[in-house]
Amino acid sequence: MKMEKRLYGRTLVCYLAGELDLQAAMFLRQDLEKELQAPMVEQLLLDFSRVTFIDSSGLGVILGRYRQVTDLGKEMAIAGASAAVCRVLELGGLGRLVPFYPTVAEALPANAGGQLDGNDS
Amino acid sequence: MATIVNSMKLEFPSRAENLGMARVAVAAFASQLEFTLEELEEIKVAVSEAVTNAIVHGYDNRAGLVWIVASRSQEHLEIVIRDEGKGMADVERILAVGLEGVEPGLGFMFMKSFMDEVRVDSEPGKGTAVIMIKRARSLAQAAATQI
Ligand SMILES: Nc1ncnc2c1ncn2[C@@H]1O[C@H](COP(=O)(O)OP(=O)(O)O)[C@@H](O)[C@H]1O
Ligand SMILES: [Mg+2]
Repeated sequence: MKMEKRLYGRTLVCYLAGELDLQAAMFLRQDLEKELQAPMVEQLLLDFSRVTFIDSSGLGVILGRYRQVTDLGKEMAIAGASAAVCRVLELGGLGRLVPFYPTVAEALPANAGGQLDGNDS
Repeated sequence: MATIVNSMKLEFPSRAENLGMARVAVAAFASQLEFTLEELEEIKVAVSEAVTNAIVHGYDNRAGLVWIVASRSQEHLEIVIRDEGKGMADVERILAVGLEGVEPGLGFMFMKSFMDEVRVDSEPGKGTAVIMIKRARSLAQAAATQI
């Protein structure tokens, strides 16, 4: 599991890569939890295009961040999930909670207020 | 299950870093049957859930051993994932919670959604075995309808 982060305007895009299981869950939970505290982050966009596997442990982290995001009055979206990954996310109920986009590019303009190439300080 | 034509056995410490290895090993064995790629992904999720439960619940994240036995007939894959951890007191209730409208555990929910049959053999203080069966139907049927 690897994660790269980039800030587009007030949208934090997290590019996840690899397998999202129990092994990855702990690291990912702590990292995302911390990032979400930042006041300049208003939206969290999770790029799943390089996620090759997810199970209930990975899904648990995502659902946990969804609760954190709502508690903080922020927003969250998912982009680029493969069919197999999507099935797990949907079965776990995430589809009813957050919007899914085919790609980060398609998710960003609406989310980042059109600041596709905005600052990434 | 009909006549067993092949089988494999794995034994490994209850560590999260072994999850990937367990998933890939069982999926590679399963690919001896005519499963679709989608079905192989489902098998990986089911294996991951049962092994994760052995690590997290069976052994409470402490040291222990996990055993996987996978066997196959011409059409069926059977996977047994076993631990000698704390066991479960009310298997029936835990497996049925979905029906009662109580929030079900996602792990068993995925195992039941992705495999044709899921049984749990568990005894408090002794350990747990999760037995899962999946039939390779899609490709076999696709081939049959082409004739
Ligand atoms: N191998 C096991 N040993 C002991 N208890 C288990 C085992 N597997 C599952 N359980 C029990 O069954 C419950 C439901 O499991 P599951 O559906 O995977 O949800 P979760 O793991 O999120 O709690 C667990 O909370 C645990 O109490
Ligand atoms: Mg579980």
